[in-house]
Amino acid sequence: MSSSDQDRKSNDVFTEWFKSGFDFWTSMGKAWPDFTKIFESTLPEEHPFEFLKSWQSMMKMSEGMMSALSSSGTFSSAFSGLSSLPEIVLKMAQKGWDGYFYLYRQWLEKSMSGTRPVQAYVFEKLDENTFKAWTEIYEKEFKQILKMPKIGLAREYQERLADLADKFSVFQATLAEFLYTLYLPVEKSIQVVQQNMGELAKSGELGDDFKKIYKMWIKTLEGHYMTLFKSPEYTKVLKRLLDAVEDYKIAREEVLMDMLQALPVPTNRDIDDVYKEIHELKKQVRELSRKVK
Amino acid sequence: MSEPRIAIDLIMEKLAEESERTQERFLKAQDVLLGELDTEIATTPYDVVYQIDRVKLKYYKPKTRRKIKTPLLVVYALINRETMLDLQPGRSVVQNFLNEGVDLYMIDWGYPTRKDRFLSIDDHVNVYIDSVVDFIREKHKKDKINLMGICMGGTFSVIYTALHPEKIKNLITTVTPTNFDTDKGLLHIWTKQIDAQKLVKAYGNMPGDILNLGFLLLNPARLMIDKYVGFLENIDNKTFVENFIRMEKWIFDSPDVPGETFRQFIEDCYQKNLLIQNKMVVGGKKVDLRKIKVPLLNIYGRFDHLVPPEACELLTKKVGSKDTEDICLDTGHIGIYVSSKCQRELVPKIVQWLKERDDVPPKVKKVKKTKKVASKTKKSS
Repeated sequence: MSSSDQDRKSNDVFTEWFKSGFDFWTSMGKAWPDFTKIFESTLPEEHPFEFLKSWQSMMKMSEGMMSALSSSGTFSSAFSGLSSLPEIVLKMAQKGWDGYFYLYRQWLEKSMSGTRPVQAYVFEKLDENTFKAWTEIYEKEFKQILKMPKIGLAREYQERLADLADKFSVFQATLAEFLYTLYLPVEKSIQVVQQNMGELAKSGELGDDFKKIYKMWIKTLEGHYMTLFKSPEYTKVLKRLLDAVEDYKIAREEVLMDMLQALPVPTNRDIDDVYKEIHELKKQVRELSRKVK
Repeated sequence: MSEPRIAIDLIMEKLAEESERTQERFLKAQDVLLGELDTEIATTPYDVVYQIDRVKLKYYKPKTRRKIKTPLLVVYALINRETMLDLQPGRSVVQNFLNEGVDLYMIDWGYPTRKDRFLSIDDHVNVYIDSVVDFIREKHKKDKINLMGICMGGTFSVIYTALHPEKIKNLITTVTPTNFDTDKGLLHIWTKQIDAQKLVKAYGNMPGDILNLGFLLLNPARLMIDKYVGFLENIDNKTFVENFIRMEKWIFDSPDVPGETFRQFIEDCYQKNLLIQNKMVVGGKKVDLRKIKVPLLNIYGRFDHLVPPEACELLTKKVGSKDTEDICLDTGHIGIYVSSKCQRELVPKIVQWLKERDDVPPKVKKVKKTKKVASKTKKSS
């Protein structure tokens, strides 16, 4: 087989592969609305199929790229360039595909459990329901057990231990909510950049400079963070986290101080009393020194 | 006929080129990172001439003939350290002052420990700053000295001048928040919600690391991602790496803030905005800004995201002095001290301003006051 025959064959194989891949994902995309009916109850009411927008924009971008790739001569052109590339590029490409599929898998898994609207620079609909649901379950089911009255000689110690368990649970839940809130701009900015890239690819202006895409993303991310941070929702989440951290730390130290009582070491409470006294005494000494002068 | 070229082709080629360049860069970076790096900060020689508790007073001797007779005391914030003013040779506010023939004193607040948790703003202003001012006055046999405050240190300097006007000749405030009733900066928005009392109960002192995390969260895209992408892009550049590490050393050198001071600053300033309304009480005395009748130079950054112009610019209108000047520089909170442009502008401007007011003896000052020679001016540069 001559080298031109081989090129043509590999060109055909890749064209077919891309085409079948594209067909598969397109049909998957079309199948989504029916698929989501199964999970209708878990989707947000106001934006039932918002996550599909991301899917659609992805498909549009893919469509542009696939059609360009499957056009005559494209592969030979691409591979003539590729043949001169070092091995590392191929590894990078493989990693890229791995990451691509991983992201898709994550996205699919997530979309099955409901998702948020994909409107840029808008954060008024934080996905609080998940966290609210957990908090409600905790408050109704578990917290009641921890709050049961304690009796006997060690009742005060038990109370403090139960309080620590309670505060720790609240802290964990609040931290998860806060971290999720911080992740939102990342997710949104990626979707926005994805849409922009799709449009650029369609108009043939995508370019070859990754730094430009990175800069586009970082600027979008910065904007999203600014919008989020100024929102009352974020301030509330931040306040909840700070309160939870403080409550947990105070509860933890109370328990630690109970434990330390059995050991011949001073606790923070003991030391603070001494520090306060020293502070007051120093003040008095200064005042008296002034009067003497 | 030329072959059609599509973006994916170009992208792959670019990736290949980039990866080769990256490989080369990281090979070179090994030499840079494993070699000797000069990342020392605060290298300008000084003497510790006075100490009270953990607070030290640094004295920097001028390198040229004294051009200003009155010594200058710089009061830095309790957040981060004063080493920012002396980051590296050639990029040092301290050296610029010394080159201009200024007797420079700087307070080093040290690292507060748990025993400092009960120290209030009163202790910092009426004990530490006051003791230091008295020491300098005595050493130089001067009734008054020049005072320059930075950020929170500027707020302390304003409070000090209002409470002890007889000891201050000229007041300079840089990026100093005095009006906290603004929603321009995220800090102003967030701190409204903080339960400072509980925070202090939980932590004793306000941990520097938590404060730093808060500052990083002001702009995570730039401060937690882009900054380090920039570092990786220049990792083979020795000078860049040295400067980057110096800045990292300074930024993450964060002493804790004494608990009671933090609580009072958050509640009285950020939440109640008492200072600018002349309602703040420090050491049992009301801080009346109208008692500040000394010349006041107020410098701040137009793009300051921590202390926005709105938090600074009201001060000159609220003090009793007729000789005030606002200067708004096109820079941010830190850029005002470290950017090359501001390095050239900041110190010469301050020195010139001080020089014009240095030789004015008290009786001439009276004339000046009655003639109202110096009127309120507002400049932007």
